[in-house]
Amino acid sequence: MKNTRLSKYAGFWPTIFIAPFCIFFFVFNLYPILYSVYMSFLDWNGYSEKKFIGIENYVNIFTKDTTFWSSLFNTVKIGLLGFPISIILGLIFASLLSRVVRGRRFLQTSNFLPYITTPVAIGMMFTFLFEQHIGMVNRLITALGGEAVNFIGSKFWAPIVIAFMIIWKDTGYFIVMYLAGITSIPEDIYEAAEIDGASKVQTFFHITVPLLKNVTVFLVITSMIYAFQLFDEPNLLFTNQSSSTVGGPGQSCLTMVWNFYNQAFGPNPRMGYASALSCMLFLIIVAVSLVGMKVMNKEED
Amino acid sequence: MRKKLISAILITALAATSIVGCGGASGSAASSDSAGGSDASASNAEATADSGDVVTLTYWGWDSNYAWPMFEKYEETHPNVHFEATAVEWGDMLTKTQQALASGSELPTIIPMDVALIENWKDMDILEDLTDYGLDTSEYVDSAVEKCTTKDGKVIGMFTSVCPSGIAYKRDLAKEVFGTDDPEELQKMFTSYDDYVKNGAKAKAAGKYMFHSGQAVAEWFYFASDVETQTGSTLNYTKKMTDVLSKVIAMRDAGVLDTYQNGTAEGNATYADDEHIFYPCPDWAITYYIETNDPDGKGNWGLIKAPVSYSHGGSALGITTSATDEQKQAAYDFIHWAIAEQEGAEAGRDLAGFITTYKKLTTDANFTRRADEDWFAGQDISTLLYTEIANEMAVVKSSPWENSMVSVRNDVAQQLMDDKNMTLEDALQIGLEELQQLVTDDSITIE
Repeated sequence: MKNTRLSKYAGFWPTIFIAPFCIFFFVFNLYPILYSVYMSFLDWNGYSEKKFIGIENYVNIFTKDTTFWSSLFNTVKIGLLGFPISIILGLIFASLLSRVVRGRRFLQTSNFLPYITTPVAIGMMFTFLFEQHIGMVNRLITALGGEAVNFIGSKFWAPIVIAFMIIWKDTGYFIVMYLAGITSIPEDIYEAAEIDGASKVQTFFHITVPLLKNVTVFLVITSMIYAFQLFDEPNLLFTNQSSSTVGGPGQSCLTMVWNFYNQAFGPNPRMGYASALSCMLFLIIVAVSLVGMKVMNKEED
Repeated sequence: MRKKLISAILITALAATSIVGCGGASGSAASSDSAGGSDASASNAEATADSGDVVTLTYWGWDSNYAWPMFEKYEETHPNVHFEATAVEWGDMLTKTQQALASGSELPTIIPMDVALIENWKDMDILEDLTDYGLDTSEYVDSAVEKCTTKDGKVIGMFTSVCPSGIAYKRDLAKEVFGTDDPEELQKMFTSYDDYVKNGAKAKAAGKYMFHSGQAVAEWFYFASDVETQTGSTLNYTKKMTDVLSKVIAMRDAGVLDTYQNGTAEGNATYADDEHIFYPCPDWAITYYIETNDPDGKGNWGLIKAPVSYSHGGSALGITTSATDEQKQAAYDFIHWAIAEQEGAEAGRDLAGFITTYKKLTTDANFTRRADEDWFAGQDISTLLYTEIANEMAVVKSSPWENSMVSVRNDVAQQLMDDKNMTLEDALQIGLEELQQLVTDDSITIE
């Protein structure tokens, strides 16, 4: 009797409690996702009559659209230039900060500030920093006797500037995550290492780094996902000017999401095709995340 | 019981999603229906209101220097009309409207359409035919009417200004480099594109640049080119860009172009410096660029004709079909006032430096007299712009792919300035590859 009553509650109330989440998930997450998959089979500009074309959009991505592949290449390139350095710097700074006693909070906060700075401000700031004629970086270069570099107008330098934006913005976040990880490492391990005569560098590589593996796995996976969704940084660097070009100089900074945005919301919109691009992006992110997790967890196994 | 409950919840959730879906679809359909129709009378019954009621006209646009003061001025004499204007960036205007249309959201009553995107606005088919409200096309500048007319003869808007363009220069630098700041003498020195290259040597020797940006001169050559962007279903890329980029390369190789990006804050700051002499200058740029960026430059500017007289920029005002009849009529009254009535056209001229496309006023020398000639040391730039240049300028029809061409032009011009060894063939090839990716309509051939 008691069990029956309990099992009744176990079925009824949990269902009621999770119902709001389920409804909102269906309405605001699952439905739009499924609808965008449906749209990817359409020839539709967003307001014209919908025309079902099967998998033609996907066929075009693989057979005609070189921009898709170049945007994938750009995204990976910028991601690889920015995130590994940012994660490594985050680890090093967190390790150094964990030993600081006075002013630690100030250093933590000041390092985290870029992460919460609005992307528009970051875009404008970096434009002024790296502009060829009046940019601070070029002024420094010319003051030191060098020749001004066209950082933002050059297809070689522009992706590097964006990678630098990523490093500047995200290192603070990585520091905070690593600091949280470091505080969970028992102090006696460090003391034992010190008694055994381990140097600071040895302690860092043989204790800190291995024991922060879980944090590193989390940061690498989320960074990969974020890298594939890169849009704000390149877009804002190049669109605060009337002569802005799609994708930066020579389309060297055209990321996958920027390409999607341009296809979906450009002057000649292709909502159906853009949906196919977003589905491809989704599949790539899932695949890369799974591979990343598998590779990073392999050592542990 | 549990299964039933879960089923019930799932059904509720699915029903909710269906409702959302249906809501979006019906909104979209309603919007499409109203967009598709051109009959102004087939609109909202709620629209009818007493003549004493205030009519609210909504507006989205970037042109705060023109639209906002014009609305205020109009409200002063028309208390029954109230404007609700929303600032929308130039680059977001078309996208915002497309999204509103796709989601079934409300469109503004009045929409400004940039000349470079006018063909895209035509394709959207959301604008009223102004001739239904009494607009007489014979009273407006022919090129303005032509640009606003769709294939089936609808006039979807009217341009607020004629936009003749010349070449502005800084008098002090011209005198220092060329020995004179007199517009007539300088006009004789610069009668062809080659003159800018040849005389550029003097500027270079004096440590000056003729122009601040490769993109700026590419824009000038683009608008001055008589090659149509699109003929039928063919984009005349190679022909048009060869014309444009070969001149940019000639100037680049002569060392007369600086490497600023056009339209950036740092590029605009050059208007006040002592390094850059010339600027391609549509009439609206006098207010927007010269007077804004060189506040101490009053009296230090001059204006000459470009080797080929041309028109650059401008926007047309249109009325959306989704507005109520009352709003449409009030919107037309405003547009007519702003463009074709003495009071409104004078306001446009005095507040923003816009010279209307209404022929009667455009050809009236007293009307076209600009109030800011003191910036040009008293030079009669009004006659130069609105009589000489306006009568000579060729107006080339836009393409629905104009924005893609412009984007490619900006990028290639920037790359040409970055890579001094880039040849015309290289530049054309780079631009062609970019354009092929941007032009996604299979029925369009790029030549």
